[in-house]
Amino acid sequence: MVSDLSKVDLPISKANGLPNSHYVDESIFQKEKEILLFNKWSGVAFSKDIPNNGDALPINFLGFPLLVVRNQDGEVVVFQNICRHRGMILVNEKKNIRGTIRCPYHSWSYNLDGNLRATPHVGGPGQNAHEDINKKELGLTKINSTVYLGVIFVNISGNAEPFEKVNRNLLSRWCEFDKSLFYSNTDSSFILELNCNWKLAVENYCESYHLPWVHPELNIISKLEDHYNIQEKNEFSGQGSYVYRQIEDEGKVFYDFDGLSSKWNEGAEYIAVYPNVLLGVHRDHIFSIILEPINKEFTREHVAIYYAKKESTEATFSQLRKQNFSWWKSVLKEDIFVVEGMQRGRHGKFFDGGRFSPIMDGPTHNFHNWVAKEFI
Amino acid sequence: MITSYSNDDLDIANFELQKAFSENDLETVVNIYRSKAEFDLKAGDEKSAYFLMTQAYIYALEGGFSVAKELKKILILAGREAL
Repeated sequence: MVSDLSKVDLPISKANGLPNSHYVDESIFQKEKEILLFNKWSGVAFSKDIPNNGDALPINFLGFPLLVVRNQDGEVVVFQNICRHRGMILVNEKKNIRGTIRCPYHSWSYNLDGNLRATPHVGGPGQNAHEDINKKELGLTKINSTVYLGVIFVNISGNAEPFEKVNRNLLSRWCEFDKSLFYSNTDSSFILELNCNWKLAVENYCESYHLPWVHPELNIISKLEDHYNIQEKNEFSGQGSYVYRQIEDEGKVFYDFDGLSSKWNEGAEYIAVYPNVLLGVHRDHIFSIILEPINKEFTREHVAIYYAKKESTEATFSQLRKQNFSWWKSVLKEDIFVVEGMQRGRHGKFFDGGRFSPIMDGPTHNFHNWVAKEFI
Repeated sequence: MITSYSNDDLDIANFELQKAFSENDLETVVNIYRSKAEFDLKAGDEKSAYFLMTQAYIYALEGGFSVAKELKKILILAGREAL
């Protein structure tokens, strides 16, 4: 299907949103998979998923088999999760690997840096070398990866500019939060299932226009006027708040990040990092959300909360963490009916992509502009 | 360690090997393969010995056992593995 994007990159006062086909058409979904997700820096897992050296996590990202590993030096590395011999999936379930990654088919074995260490019987029974099999040339295929705010990003195509270059404005904007993060295993992550295209979750996240209606409980403590738009062309968009208030339990609050400027005393920001990662930063914790597109109309939303200080992850803070977990889970759940309703709406064939509020919808328009620019 | 293999001994070793695999006890897997490999080597059956030594080596690598270095050296000296 051809998609007409000519009205998407008009000025916001004249523009339409992305047409229906970008939410319901299989061929466009497949094209977006390559252009918007594989060619860019997509979030695929959290660093907390592989906390220990030797941890290996297989991920099926839109059909692409990835293996996320924490090597013996504690670094995160990502490989195509298949053996260089017969293309067999190497690791089927999350596990800790003490030695080599052994292919379960013919036992070609790789170390955690992806180097091929052994090719048993490759030259016949008991003969483990052959002149035509050069181990140095047959290591696992490495996928470019980086970790930022607890999210493991990958560039599957290998063609994207370095993450630090693509996201330089975000890294600069949030440099005060680019520090060690701490995670509590028991009460700091959850998954929501959304019957919608992944982009609708991005669009809803990055604007504050809906807050008074979808999250009415915010109207007393965090009014619409307390928010501002964030938009960086072709990079990210989101919203900020001037009135973040820490969760408190009998005077007890989470520990803050060290060295934050006063802006963050009551400030918080929520940014969609294109394509599929949603981040939120506060003085005492951050959260990271990975949108996992399963198909054109179904998305898994993986949420992880990280704390600024190790003390905040200890048992003495469990009640406070429980409150924080419940708060964010309830807020994010409130958005489900909206994104699912918009998805159903994309089957209305007379919908033209919609018109934007020139004042309130800048972040969404910015995202649509990025999609259109990449797509054309 | 078994010093000679009757059919019964082979059955026992086979049973123990299966048990070790089912329990993901790679250390025992390595020991069983290596024992039989060394026995076959003494008996002059190099073909079987280096097949089994290879099995021991691969599982030692997987387990991250230090004995993997020793097994690799044995295989290299026998011309069965590259440096």
